[in-house]
Amino acid sequence: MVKYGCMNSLTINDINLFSRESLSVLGDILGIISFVLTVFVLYDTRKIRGYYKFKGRGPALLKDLSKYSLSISRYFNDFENFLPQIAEELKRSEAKLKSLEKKLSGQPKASVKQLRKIIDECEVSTENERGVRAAHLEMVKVIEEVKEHRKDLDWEI
Amino acid sequence: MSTEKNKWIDALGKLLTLTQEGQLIWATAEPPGSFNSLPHQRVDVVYQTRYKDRTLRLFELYHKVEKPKGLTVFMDQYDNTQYPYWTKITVLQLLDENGLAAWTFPETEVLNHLLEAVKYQVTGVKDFLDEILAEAV
Repeated sequence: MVKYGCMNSLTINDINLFSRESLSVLGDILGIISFVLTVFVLYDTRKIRGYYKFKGRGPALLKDLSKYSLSISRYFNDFENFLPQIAEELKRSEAKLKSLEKKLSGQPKASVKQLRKIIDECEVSTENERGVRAAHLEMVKVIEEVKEHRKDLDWEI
Repeated sequence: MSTEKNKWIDALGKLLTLTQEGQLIWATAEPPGSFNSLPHQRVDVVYQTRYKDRTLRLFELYHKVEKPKGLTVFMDQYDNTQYPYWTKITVLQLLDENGLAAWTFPETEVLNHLLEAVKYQVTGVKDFLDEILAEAV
């Protein structure tokens, strides 16, 4: 009670701002603030770096993927006779997807990863036409998703 | 990605499969007069089919892009685009009983794939290839 009473009667003149203790507390507070700011700056830098990595190569990768996807669709017109070509286009797509995945984060990255797995496990054979068509359709969905993501990014940064 | 858009892609994927397997037969038709009544847009040919008692119409819509009027001298310096130019989009419509567009499908990549498949079917590319290969040299 006595202590509390003393605190209440303290005035600004009673506090020595330049005492060792005060400067130590001030230093601690500034240290915490600068740590929080550093974390923010690191987060933003990472985000901006990711944005420019995607902005730089993303459109070209998407264009290539669209091209492969259209080629695969054309080969579907005569599925049995174009099995090697379909397999080749899927392999090419996988390589582009791997590169694209590194430039993405969050849900689009997860979708690209999932698509790579689907393509990797997809057996291109006459018996598995349904599976190949499903993989192709997944590819179209992921292309659309990444395109939407690109539009969103333009507004975020 | 929204599951709503995925549903459209799945539906269009099914139309693509049915077309490529020859279960959905498309035919060319004259574009309605209103399609070519404006100077800045053009439709050369439309493709139609019947599916589950509904008519589907597919076409490429060409659109002329003029130089924007608000382009300032400063912006003009950095704009290397040659105006006017034509762009195109693929449109798939569901028609009502009067032949009018009741619904237009959302724009996705798979629409272009469907158009390619329809052109392949209508022009009889496969038969033509078979004829060439069957012909004795």
